[in-house]
Amino acid sequence: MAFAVEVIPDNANLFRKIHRSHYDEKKGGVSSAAFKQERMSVNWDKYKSANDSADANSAAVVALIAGDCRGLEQTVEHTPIEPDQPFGPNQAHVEVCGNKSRAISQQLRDRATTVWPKEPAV
Amino acid sequence: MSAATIAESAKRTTVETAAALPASLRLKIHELAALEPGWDGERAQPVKTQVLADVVETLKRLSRQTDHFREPFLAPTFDGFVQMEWREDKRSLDIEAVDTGWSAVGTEMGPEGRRQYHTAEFERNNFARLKKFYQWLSGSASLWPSP
Repeated sequence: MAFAVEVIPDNANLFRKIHRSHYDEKKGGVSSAAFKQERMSVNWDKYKSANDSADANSAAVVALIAGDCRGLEQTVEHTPIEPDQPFGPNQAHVEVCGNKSRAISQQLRDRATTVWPKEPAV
Repeated sequence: MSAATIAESAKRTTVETAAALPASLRLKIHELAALEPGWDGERAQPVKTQVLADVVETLKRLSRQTDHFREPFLAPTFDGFVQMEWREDKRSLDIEAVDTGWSAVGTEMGPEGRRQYHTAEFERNNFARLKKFYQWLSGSASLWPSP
């Protein structure tokens, strides 16, 4: 049975894994290059944790708020991946869609919060 | 000689020309050159050799022509380009190699702590303009209206 496609609420947390080549270890920052894809894959926290969103090449996982993404002229689409599809199954799969040229990717980066590994308390 | 061999040789040459750069940048350039197709675990492209060569040349010129060279963080984009990123206390600058040249985004803190975003695009061979953006980072050049 196929996964149901749901509406993502504005307050949903969306986890984005950050590849180690997009993570500046010296300064502890994430590159805006990690947020440039026209259809950017994220995981909805309803179905997947930040920890489970990381893979062997991840330096971090960041959280974006769905409503923040919509505020940057993006659409947020629930696109679950079925077991017989590449990278499936993944019921949590969501895509943040839209043009990310110019300053949009920087604004997504600036709104993202590192949730794994957790940022040390200051 | 196959096209793949020629491409590999060109990439090796690019890495070798980075010898004049600081060791940490050389290491990063080596890592960028070594990225394979699908390096993100999905569909990312390897860094284009010509793009990497342009980035190396630009950094060499910047390091020669500025008193206190600030090393950027270098990041690959998913479509085979490279982005140079500088972070300072109040300003940041991302310059990305794109199909049409360079695309720059500068950010700075405005009144009430609101971040301002400025954008510009220019040709790949316009080093003078790129240098001006780099100088803007330290406040020694005026490019965008102050917030």
